[in-house]
Formats: sequence, structure tokens, C-alpha cells
Amino acid sequence: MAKQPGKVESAEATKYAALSRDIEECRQEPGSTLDMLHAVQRHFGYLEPQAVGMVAEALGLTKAQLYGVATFYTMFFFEPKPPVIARVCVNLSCHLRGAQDILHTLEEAAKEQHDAFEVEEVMCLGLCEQAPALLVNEEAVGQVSAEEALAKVQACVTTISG
Amino acid sequence: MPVTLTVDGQEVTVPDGSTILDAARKAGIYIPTLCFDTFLKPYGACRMCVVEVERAPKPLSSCNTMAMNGMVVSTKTEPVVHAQQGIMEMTLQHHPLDCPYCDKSGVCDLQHTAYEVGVYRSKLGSDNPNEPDHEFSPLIEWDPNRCIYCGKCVRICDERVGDSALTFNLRGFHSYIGTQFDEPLDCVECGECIEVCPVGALLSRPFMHSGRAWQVNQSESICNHCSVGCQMHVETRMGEVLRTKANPALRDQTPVNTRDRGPGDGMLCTRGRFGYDYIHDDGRVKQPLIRRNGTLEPASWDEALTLVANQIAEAKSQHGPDTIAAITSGRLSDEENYLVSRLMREVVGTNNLDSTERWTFIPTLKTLGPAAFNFSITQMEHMDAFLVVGGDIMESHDVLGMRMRQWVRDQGKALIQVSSLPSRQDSRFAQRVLRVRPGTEEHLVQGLAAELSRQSSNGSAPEELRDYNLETAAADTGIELTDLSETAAQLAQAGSVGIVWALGNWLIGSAGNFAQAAANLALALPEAHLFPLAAKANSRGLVQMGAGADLLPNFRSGDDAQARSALGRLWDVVLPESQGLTLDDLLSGADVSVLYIIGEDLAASARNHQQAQTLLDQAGFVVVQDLFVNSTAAEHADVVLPAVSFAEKTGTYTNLEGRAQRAQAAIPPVGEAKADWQIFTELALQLGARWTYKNSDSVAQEIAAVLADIPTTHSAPRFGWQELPALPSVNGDGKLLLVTQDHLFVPGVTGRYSSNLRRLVEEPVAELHPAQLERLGVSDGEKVGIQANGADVTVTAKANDRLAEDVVYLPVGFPDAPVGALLGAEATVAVSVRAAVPAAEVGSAQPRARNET
Repeated sequence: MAKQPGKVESAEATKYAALSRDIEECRQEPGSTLDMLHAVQRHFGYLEPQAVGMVAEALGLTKAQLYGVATFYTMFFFEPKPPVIARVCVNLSCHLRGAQDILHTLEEAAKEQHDAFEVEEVMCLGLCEQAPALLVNEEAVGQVSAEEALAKVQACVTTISG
Repeated sequence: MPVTLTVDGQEVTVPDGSTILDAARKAGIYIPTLCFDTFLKPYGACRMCVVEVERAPKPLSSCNTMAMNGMVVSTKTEPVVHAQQGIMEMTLQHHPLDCPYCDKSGVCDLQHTAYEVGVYRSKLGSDNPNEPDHEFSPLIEWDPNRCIYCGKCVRICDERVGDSALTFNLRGFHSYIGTQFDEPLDCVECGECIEVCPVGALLSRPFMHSGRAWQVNQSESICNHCSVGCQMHVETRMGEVLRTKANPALRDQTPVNTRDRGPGDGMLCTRGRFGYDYIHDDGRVKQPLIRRNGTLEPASWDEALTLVANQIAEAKSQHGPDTIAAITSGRLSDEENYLVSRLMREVVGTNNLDSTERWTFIPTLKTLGPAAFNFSITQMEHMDAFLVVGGDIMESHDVLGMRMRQWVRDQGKALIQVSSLPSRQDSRFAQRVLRVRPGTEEHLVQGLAAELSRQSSNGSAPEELRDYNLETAAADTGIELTDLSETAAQLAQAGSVGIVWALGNWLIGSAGNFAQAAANLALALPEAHLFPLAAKANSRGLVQMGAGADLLPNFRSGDDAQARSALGRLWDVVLPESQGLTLDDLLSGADVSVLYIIGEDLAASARNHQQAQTLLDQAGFVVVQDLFVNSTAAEHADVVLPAVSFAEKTGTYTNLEGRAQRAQAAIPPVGEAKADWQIFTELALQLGARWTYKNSDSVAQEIAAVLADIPTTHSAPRFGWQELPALPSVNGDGKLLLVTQDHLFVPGVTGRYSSNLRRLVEEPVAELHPAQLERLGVSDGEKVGIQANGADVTVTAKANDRLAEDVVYLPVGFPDAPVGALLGAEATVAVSVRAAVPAAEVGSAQPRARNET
């Protein structure tokens, strides 16, 4: 009864339908837990509990077990996130070449733009030779100044939201 | 092949498959452990049990290293002790030493182990998160500070309970024991996690801070909430029951444990572990009550018993003994059911004695014969496949359900679940789920029987099953034909098949038919065994004691002259030969001058509510013997005799396998209440009998003699092809079918007096398919009125998309939603459901309201 107007509901329904197609595809392969969780995150932007319930049902596991697995990994989210995430490496080589500056600049900008994107500190991205390095969503960016990094992030925000 | 090895210079021989820890303990050598538990699979996480093994490069954890021939093991060398002390220091670094305030103090594995390895503080200092407690559920609390991350709770929930509701969340230093999305626990709330926690991290919220280990007394007892018969301990302090817990002897930490862990395998469920507090509920009747000028007023035992005895004597002399009737209960002990039978038959002189077993257990017994009840849980474990039909055993016999999950998952047994309601077994344990239309379970089973017998005899079904086949079953039950034929094929290939059904409310009105259909199926299969599961703690004992109108001890029939005369000889009396009044006879309008109701809330639980009201209204004198002033007592009793709970008396209870187990009195009776056996004895003495029972055990001795003298006659099993009566017509112009079932958290009317269990289920809820709710114009959480047989029950509605659209599920056991009032005499009832009328009109049984389906 207390449902929202049709449009929102059907957008959600589309996501669930898409997810259940992905689940069907994944379940042919053994050990597909993480693939299915990734599918949830792809469709919902985070691990939406009801969608995780669908994965649990498909795998014969409980939601608790999947939550235990998912929380082990830092790149699964449990609440909606902005569409762009900048992951700034703060390990030794990046630190020495100005990772803190990048971090600071991005964080300030994110705050000013009311969380249009999110900034995370991460440990080694395996890009030490490109230090300072960051990931903007799935794109690796290296040897950049704080300003260049911010421009890269802004460009990504514009592309996605535009 | 046994294995021989040397541990600390001592030669030990252990069975193949033993670990080094097993061998050491067999030799009496102590190795400290923390995450080890004989109840669980070896885990090897805490490293506390390290030992040195010759030629092994590093110390090995003994709990998960197999013993091998010729191994030379040292458990007390300097490197071993050093390692153990180091591990203990690291554990203590994060553990607050708040032992003076901890429930677990004195029975804490961490305390024991720290004492043994000789460490009491950490060189690493103390670094405790000092976080607030988490409430996992209304009954279970987790203190993150005390947790030592041994994972026992996570493992028991997974390995033994099968709910897998707890996990390690996050990782490394940040990891913690948690639930899905940090929501409240989604599980059966059995509390096994509390039982297995080695420290005071997981706590029973009702028990917290009520007694230290050394302040409490423990008594061996048997859980009284269902017929599995789980062995448990009752913990008491100064005459008060503090909690019930699994019998620690069954969870003995000595490995190589071949001990019989009893029917419950050492476990308890929600009911067993938390459903004890009705014992001290404020509603307990503490002294006899006599109705004077319409109200029940306190009286002395003398007064009350004299009144009852006089009424019985008067009725007997004026109207004859056959106008006196008693209704007993499967919650009473063997001794008590034996004595009530003796009271009625010998002292009163009538066979008018019955119970609600009339509706489920007794018809099953009459159809199948006593041989069908000769089974054990161990035998069940050895089946290759289970066909579980009807009521969900995870609700009615939870511990057995948990055990079945283990058999299914660990031993690869097949589980086929046939029910009109969704079950916790469905998605993770059952290989196949058949959602059957309510009331057609026996037609499904009969259809399978016909098909399988046709297959095994090349096309010719027995004469009696001629009219049945999978097509008729599909039409009757609403299940797809392909599902049925796959099920038949699976059963034919499955090896030995256990046909399991709980003798619960779903069977009322069709218990005999179902038993017949199950027997037919067993005959049609190459190898099958029947497992009818008794409902109450002592349902089987009640029947075995002969506490039924047409029953004599050891399942002998009431018209068995030989058994009757044998019993008469033992009692030194000529027993009445007249046909006793069954509960059905009573309800269909027998003339009763004295009605004696023991441990049964007839007004709330009878299936034919109208008839029960009439019976109670018309009975000349009504005596209620119970723990509470239940609805029968409040409205109809002339005298209320206060009885005691299982914890206040000694007695034996016969479980569903026929295992008679003794529960020991843990506390003295509450108030002036008396044990039922004692009340029967005093009443018999008042009526002139010469009974000399001093205690329950003296009755038990007499029972042993009686049972030896009147053996069970195992006539050839009365299996034989049988037709079923026609399917009852349940299509009621747009009405819904009412499905009732036991609720795990509501073990009968008595269980509703447990405030612990009430925390889990506050009010009765009717579940309907969301589409049906929409049709009714009702939202999830709003009230609906359910009508049938002139009764009207108003309850909260809940959407459940796993239900069929044409059913409404209402659990039994809630006095505030008397399902019995809706059930007439038929097995399956069509009910009208509508949006509840405004509050002012609720309760007035107005037929047909707006939005009626």
C-alpha cells in the first residue's frame, strides 16, 4: 500500500531483474560469490540488503555469511556512494611524492561540492613507479600534481553526471 | 586400525582418526585449549594447544593434527610453554579482567587456561576497545570487549544449528562477531552461541547478573516443551529457577567421546533454553481457589479437596460413575498419567478419561499399531532420504530439525519438504519443496504411493489405490504434475526413505487418514520407515500409561479383556467395562456432572470451540488443575487446584522414541501448589482408596510392574492398502484456507506465560500473500478479522510472499487468537478474511463486513 509512485518502483524493479539475470549467469560457475556481490554493487551502487538476500538464496548461504565475506573487502560498500570515488595511495613512494597534498586538495574539493565524489585513502595500488598515484573509479592516474588530480576527478564527475 | 604414539614418554593407543589432543587426553595429559570444542569440528585458530612433535620443524596444534603411528609428542617443553604463555598474553591484552562482574567467572575457559599456563596479565599492557554491548536480539547480548574471537559461536551456528546467522565481519584488528548488515539476529534464537561461548562475551539477557557459577544449584531435567526430550540442567538459586541450559555432561570436553548425547544430542532450542520463566510468572495459582458467588476465592487444600471429593462421590451415587469425566495432558509425567487413569478407573469407576491426543496420536496409533512408534532418532539418522510432510519440524521439534539439517548437509541425505507453509529448511536444506494445498497432504502421499506401487509392479496398482495416481494428486494438491513425478522418481531411487510427520494441529481431523496414506507409501517403496513425531513432552507416555478412554497400559486396547483383568488384578479391583467417553464424545454433547480438566486449557485449545463452550457450560461441576487461571478456569471452574511445573516435581517423561527419562525436582513448589501425582493421591485417599504412594518414584516402581505384566502386543504391523475418504470440500466461494501450525516461540498456552518467549513474539500475527492483502485493502501491520464457524478473531496481518495466495496462516498457541475457535470439526477450514472493523466493533461476531473476499 505504502508504495512510492510507479516510476521509482519500476526503476528498482529493473535493477532487481537485471541482477537476477546476472545471478543466473554467475551460478553456472563454482565459487561465484564475489562475482555475484560485484553484480549487486554494479546495479545498485552498493550492497543493497534485499539484493544480497537474492544472492544468498541463489548460493544457499545466509545474508550473514555474505555480509561477513563482503566486509572483509574494502571495495564493497554498504550504503549508497557518490558515482565517483578517488582512491589515493598513501604508501611510501606516493607519500614521498606528495600524496598528502592530493588527498588534502581532493577532500577540500569534495567538501565544497557537497560530496559529488568521495575520496579514500588506500594502501599500495601497485603503481609505485608512477607515484603519486590514484584510482579515479577504475582508471589509474599517476605522476600528477594535486591540481591535475582534481581536474581528472572533475572530468570524471562531469562525464558521469552529464 | 588403532594408532600408537608416545605422549610425554607415555605410550598411548587411540582409534584411527584421533588427534594428538585426543591421545593426550586419553593418557590423562592436560593440554590447554581455547577454541577447541568436542561439539565442533577442529579449527586450530587459537594455537593454545601447540605441542612439539619429534621431526616436525615447528610446534603443531594438537587439536587438528592427526595422531600417527610412532609419533613422539612432548606437551610441556620449554618452547611449548613459552608459546602458550605468549598466546595467553596476547589474548589477555584485549580481554578486560572484569571477572568480578562477569557471569562466566568460575566456569570461564579463559580463566581456567590462564590459571593452567600461569599467566594473569599481559606484558603488552591492556588495550581494550571499551565498547558498549550489542543487543543481538531480545534474548542474546554480545560484549565485544570480552570476546576472544575463538569463533565457536560462529561455528556452532553453522555446524550444529544450521542457521549461520553469526559471522566474522570486517577483518584483522577490526573484525568482530556480527550479524547480517548489523541487523538483529535472523535465526531460531536457540542460544547455542551463548552455551558455547568460552568467556562472558555472549550472554543470555534474561539471565545476566542473576547468579554466579558457585552460587547456583543444578538439577538434571528434561525439557518439557516438545517430545524430543532434550536433556538439560535447571539452574536454581534460593528456590528460584534462574535458567535452563544444556546438560554439561553431554558436552563433556573429553575427546574420543562416544557417549550417548541423548535425543537432543546435547543441544537445546529456544523453547528449552529460554522458555522456563513461566515457572515464576506472577500469574501462577499459588493456592486452591473455590468459586463463591461467581468469583474464584482462595481456599485451603482441605476445603478444596473435600469439595471435589464430595462432588465426585455425590455424582457417582446419584448419576453413576459414567457421568464423571477427566481430561488429562501430555505435559504431565508418566507417573501422573498413570495415577489419573487409576483414579478414574479404580476409584471413580469409569473409563471416561481422555486428552487432546485423541485428535492426533491416538488415531495414528489405531491406524498403524504400536509397532509404528518403535523407532529411534539414531535409526532416523541412518535413512538416506527424508520426506517431511505437514507441520514444520523446525517449529514443532526444533532440535530434531537442527539434527536433520546436519544429516542433510554433512552426510548428504536428501530432504523433501511437503508443507503448505514456508519453512526455514526450504532454501538452504531441502532439495525439493512441495507447497501443498492445506488439508490435502494425505492425497499427495497416497498419489505417490499409487504411482510407486504401479511402477514396482509393472503397472498394476493394488485394488484400493486404483483411483489414485499422480494426476489426481496434482489436481487435489495444486502441485505441478512434473514436480510430483520427479518426486516419485527421486523417492524410488533414494534408498531408505524416512517418512516424517509431526503429530500436530495440521493433522486434526485427518490423522488416521494421513497415517494410512503414509503406510501405503511405505509399502510402495523398496525401503521406508515411518516416523510419526509425538507432539507434547509426554504424549507418548500418556498413551503408554493407558490414560485414554479406550486405552490400557502399553498401547493395549480398552476392550482387551486380558489386559483389563491383568490391570484389575494388580489394582485389586474389577475395572469398569463400559465404553469410556472420548474427548470427541464429550464435545458432542455428553451429559457430564463432574468434569475434571488437568493441564489443558480446553476453552482456548479445543478445535471445536462452540462445543467446548457448551460442554463447559453444561457440566455440573468443573475442576481445573493447572499452573495458571487459564481461560477455562477463569470462566468455568468451580474449583481450581494449583499444580506445579516440571521443575518443581520429579517424574519421568517418555519422548517420541519411547525413551523414558527422569526429570528431577529442582525447586520446591511455588506457593502452596502441589505436584499432580500428589493431588491425585490425596483425592483418591479422600474418596476412600488405600493408596500408599510416598513420591513419584514409588509410582514409577509400580508402573514398571504393570508394564511388565501387560506387555505390548506387537500384532503384525497393520499396514495394508487402504482407500482414503473423499477429499473434503474446501472451496468456499472466495474464502481462504486456514493453515495452522505450531510456532517455535509459542510452545502452547503455557509457553505464552513465558515473558522471555513473549519478547520474541509479542502478539499473534496472521500471514497472507501480499496480493491477497492488497485485494483486502489492508496494509502490512494492519488488523484483519478472520471468521469461521461463528467465531471471529482479530489479529495483525503480515505479508509473506512465500505463501500461496489462497491461504491464511495463523499459528496456534496464542490465547489471544484462539485458532481453535475457528476450527470446526473438519480438518481444513475455509475462513472469511476482511479488513478489521473499527475498534469499537471488534469482538462482536458480525458476519460479512465490507471488503470481504
